Amino acid sequence: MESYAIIGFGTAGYHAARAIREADKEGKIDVFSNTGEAPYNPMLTTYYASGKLSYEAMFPFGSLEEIKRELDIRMVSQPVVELRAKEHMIKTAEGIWGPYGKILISAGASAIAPRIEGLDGKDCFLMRTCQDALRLKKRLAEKNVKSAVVVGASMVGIKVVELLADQDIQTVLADLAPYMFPTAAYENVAHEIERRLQARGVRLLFQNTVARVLDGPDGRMAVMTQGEEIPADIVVLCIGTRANIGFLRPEEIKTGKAVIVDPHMETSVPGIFAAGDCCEGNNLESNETQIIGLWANANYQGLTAGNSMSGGQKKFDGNILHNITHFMDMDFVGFGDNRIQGQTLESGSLESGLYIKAVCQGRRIVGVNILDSYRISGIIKNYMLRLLRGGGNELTVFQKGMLVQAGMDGRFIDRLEEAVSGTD
Amino acid sequence: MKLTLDLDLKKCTSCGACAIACMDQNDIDVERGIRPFRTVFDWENKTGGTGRKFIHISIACMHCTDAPCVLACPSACISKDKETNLTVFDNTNCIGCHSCAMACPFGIPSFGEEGKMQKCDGCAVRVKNGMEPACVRACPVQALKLVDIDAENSQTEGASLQKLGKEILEFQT
Amino acid sequence: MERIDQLLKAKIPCEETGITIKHTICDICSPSFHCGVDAYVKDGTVIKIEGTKGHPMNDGLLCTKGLSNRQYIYRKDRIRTPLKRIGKRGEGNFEPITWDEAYKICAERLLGWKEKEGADRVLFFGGYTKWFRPWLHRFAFSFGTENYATESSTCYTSGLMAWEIATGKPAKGDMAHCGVFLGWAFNPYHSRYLGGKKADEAKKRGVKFIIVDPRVTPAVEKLADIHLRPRGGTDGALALGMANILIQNGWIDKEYIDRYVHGFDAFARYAAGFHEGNLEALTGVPYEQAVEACRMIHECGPMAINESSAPLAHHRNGMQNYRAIMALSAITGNYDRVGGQQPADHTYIHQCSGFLTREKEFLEAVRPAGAKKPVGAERFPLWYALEGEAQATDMARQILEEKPYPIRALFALGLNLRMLPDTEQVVKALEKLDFFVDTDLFLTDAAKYADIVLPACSSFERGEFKTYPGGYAVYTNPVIEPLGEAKSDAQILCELAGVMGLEDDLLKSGYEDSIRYMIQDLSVTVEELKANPLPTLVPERTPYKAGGYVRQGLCTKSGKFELDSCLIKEHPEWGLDSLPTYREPLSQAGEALYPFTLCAGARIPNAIHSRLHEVPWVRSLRPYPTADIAEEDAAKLGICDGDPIEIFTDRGSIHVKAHPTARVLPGMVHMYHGYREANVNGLLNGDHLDPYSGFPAYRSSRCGIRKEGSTDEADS
Repeated sequence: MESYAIIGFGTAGYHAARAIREADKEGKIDVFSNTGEAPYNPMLTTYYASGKLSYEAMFPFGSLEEIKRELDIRMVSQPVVELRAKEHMIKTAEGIWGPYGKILISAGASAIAPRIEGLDGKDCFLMRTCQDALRLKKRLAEKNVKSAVVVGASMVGIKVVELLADQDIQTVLADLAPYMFPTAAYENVAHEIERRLQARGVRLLFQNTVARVLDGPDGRMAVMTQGEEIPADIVVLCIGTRANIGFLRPEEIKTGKAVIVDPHMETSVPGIFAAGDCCEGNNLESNETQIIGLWANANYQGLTAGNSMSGGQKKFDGNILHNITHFMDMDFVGFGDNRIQGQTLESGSLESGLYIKAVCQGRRIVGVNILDSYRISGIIKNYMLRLLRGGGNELTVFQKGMLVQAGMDGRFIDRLEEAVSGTD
Repeated sequence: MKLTLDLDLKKCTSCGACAIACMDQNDIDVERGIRPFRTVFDWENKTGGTGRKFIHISIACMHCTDAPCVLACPSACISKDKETNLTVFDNTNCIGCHSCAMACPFGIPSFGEEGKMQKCDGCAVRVKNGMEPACVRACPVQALKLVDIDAENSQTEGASLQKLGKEILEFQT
Repeated sequence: MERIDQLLKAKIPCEETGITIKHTICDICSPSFHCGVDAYVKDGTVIKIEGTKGHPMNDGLLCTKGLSNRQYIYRKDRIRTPLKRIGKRGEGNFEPITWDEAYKICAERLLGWKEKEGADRVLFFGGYTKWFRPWLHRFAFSFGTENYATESSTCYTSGLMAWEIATGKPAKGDMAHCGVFLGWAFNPYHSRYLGGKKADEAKKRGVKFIIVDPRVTPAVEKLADIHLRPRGGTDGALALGMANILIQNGWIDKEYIDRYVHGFDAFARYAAGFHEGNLEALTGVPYEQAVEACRMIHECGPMAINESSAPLAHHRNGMQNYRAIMALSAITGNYDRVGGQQPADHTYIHQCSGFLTREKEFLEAVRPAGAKKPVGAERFPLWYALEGEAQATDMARQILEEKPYPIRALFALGLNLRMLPDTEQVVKALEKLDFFVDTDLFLTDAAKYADIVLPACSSFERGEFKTYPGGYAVYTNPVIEPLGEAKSDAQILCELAGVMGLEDDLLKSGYEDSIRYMIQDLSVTVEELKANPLPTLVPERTPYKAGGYVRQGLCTKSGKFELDSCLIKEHPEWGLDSLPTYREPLSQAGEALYPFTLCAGARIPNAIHSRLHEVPWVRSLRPYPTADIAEEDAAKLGICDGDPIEIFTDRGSIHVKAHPTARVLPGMVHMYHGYREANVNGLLNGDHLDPYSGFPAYRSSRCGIRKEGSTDEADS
């Protein structure tokens, strides 16, 4: 009978367990997780904090008890101190486990939390875990937060800004980057989003962050790196995440910023797999490994890993960066690498209705920004993937029709097809 | 049994009967800007290109076997119905993030007044009660059909929208 | 979700949900359909509908329009009480009044004019969907006037007249048994959808299809073995050309012609003028294609021809074109045979069901003696000779000019302003009336000009008698209570007859008794029909007997199929041709300013006239009034898909979106009608009419188009 260990039980670990159980009804599955919580979705934390979701709703696959029953797994609620990869052994604070036939590293990632001088823990927030959400929600319930500084013009940052602004908290969004969504947005799109945010009363400070915090006569002030002092009853840090790989030995298992995997989600050590935010899979555009820390991507990786671990042949050849962020009644969609230059096509209007910008290079679409049309996002992403994966360079009729139905100018579709049909 | 809805492209005339039947079944309030689940249109190939000059399409959820939206939903609102394999949903916990829309290569997910996702569920409850999906029941030229992809001869005789859809899905993640 | 919530959400009819299915009929389009409807009813409200399975008409199906019944019957602008106008005409300001008050006012005003100047001063008008016609017509007669007009003044009757001239009765193409179907103006998939199902079945059987249509429609895509694309309104020339080809090649039935056809030689001589040398120039159809079509007719017969209510009739030469097309049936021996064109009798309200009712007697018994000739009778004498009623296209003129006599009051059910050309003129006429009553489900733009508006109910809210092809009859039961104080149109007429004290006991005794009178010769009773939720087979039905009618002698002056009309010949004073002669659909005047041919009313699947434009579901399929124009024309004018354009004539202009498409011919503009914000019929000259039928030339009149914002009218 095969034995499996899964280190970390987020959505990647959960999907791996499901895939294993589907293929192997008998095998023993040990899941190492010290949170005591069912797999949850970091994306939902701001929705809980804002009161739009119940606490239970952050756990999309149900309670740990339900999952244990459904997948017939054993929980080991101890922190993993070390993975002895070559031996397929796991060391926790309380003992050594294994050897296991197959091990999955799905430990996820943690929010980066630099210490800020003068800021006590109570009023400094992160937004990653359920605990983070609980804390912020509790703090806001005190009803005395009048001002906030959010650091990080990211997808999480903007959702935090939205929830604070909804509660009429005077909110400043700061980032060291020069504009909004620096890793996804083209500059003109970023500026339009900035314009809208400012119109909603959100102050934006770029190339700027909180240097330290002072308790002054007018309350707590954040001293910004550019010198300004602004009211900040609370500070929320949404700077980014770091893969949880501290328990690995880099000399034993190949890592970059995270664990490097092949299309079967196997690491450099045979029988050891990785999935989710702690691994680097293939970026289809660059053909280099990279953390693509997205929910759906983690699910694909988890399913692929679980399939491989239980003897399947499934492959996951990688992905592109892709994001859709719905906030303050707008949709921002970013696909691909916004740094790559190429033939640029635009359609629609930034100010109202559908806007799309696509950058094409070498018979591919390398980057896309869409503003205010979720409807076209799936078809455009599919087209990008198809071009990258060697599919035909013509959109199917029904996709074209749906784009036009969604308000896209038919002539843009022709131009796009033409741009990716040239010889290179 | 793996059910899905298929359209015979040679039979469809884009009359829209299916779309209206769907709106009636699902109480779609188009006046409030709610997008109907089924989209019907007449596409004209301008460039010459391959294929026919005029194509009629009626499209709603394709009920993909490995539905990308299921994996994309952060709240696990979307699932495959065990009995019918139709892609069903419970949007109680939908946060309106539009991730399902970004995952869907067919541009299907629609959103209700509260911003919660809604879409064609293949009339799964009707089907389980021995009735046809509303659109299939209404199609005056028998272009729309509920088909069992596991059954033999499941392939639609003429030009199948599902077949076209499958080619698209090959490249999807 | 709980099981019960799931069942309720899915609207599953069962005990748990309390949802029941009740049968009614759809009353959105013409009575030649009125498909069976299953209404899902919960707590007295319709929550969903479907077509009735096993119904002889539609067997479970409904079309795009019919499927919107729930939103149609619950439209927000349904009138709930009788209304009395308090504002200016057209403003739409009304106050609710009681039925008693409403009837009293109507009675006083109508009887007042009758007393003062005579019954003919009142015009009775019936709009869609015709179901109440026998009662309105009888009401007019009992009131003492022949001034009864209907919306059939612009629909269906032209074709009927063509058949009456030729054979004395209506005819139907027998698609079920034909070898070749001449689908002239045939696109059932977007209008008259049940024909599509039959066409699909015929195609499967191997029937050949010749589709004659300027547009590339789904029927062309799915069915056409040969597609002839004449320019709009040149159908007569094409038909005459084809007749000539058939005659020249000997592809005609000489023996049949000798026995059953009148005027063949004159017809053949006239048709000889349409030949290889001019056919393409006249119609746009290459001569060779016409020959191929004729060869197919000859080799693949029997031939059935599509009967068309509007597209062929809506030209100033419409009826003559129709006669020319149907002549093809006569000269090939395809009239009155299996697989050809078959004579039929109207059973009840334009439906041929294979048995007879006393519908005609119900009217003729009370036709007033000594009534003045109705509106339009002088101007359209052939119309009056055949139909014996008013021609509504002359209504506005007579009201405004008071010639040959004034019209003081109008009593209307479902009057639609936009069914007539030159809307401005119609509005002026309505404004001039002394008294105007309109009855409708909705406060339409026409109703806004009325003094009194009466709330009618939908087919879901009433019980009614109805017959169907194949020998069926039904008497429906209401599936919901009437909305507000609405009543059925027929009930309103019967009650008003009582209040007015008309000397007509049958009418006053009500709708149901009138039906009892009309079906007294049948062995089914009202009670039996009511008890059967589905249509009942009437034992008196008689099957079609091939050749019976031609052998017995036709109800025409000659007793034969008249290619050369004896009736018209007897009346040289009418100035009409006895042969199906051809003249150009457009006059030369205005060609430079208005180089395009405007075709108003080319069908779209989600609309019928204006009655569904305000129904959000169907409207959402095509939210904007949109004109189809040829890609070539669009390119010349710099117009792209969705661009706003202006369509203009000497009557004014409308603003719509453009849809350049290869589906339509260069030089033509196809625009659907009835839009409040883009009323294309309002662009038509009220005198651009067919002198034979009085029908408006909606499908061929001159217009110009330009891209919105472009100033150059002669953009080239």
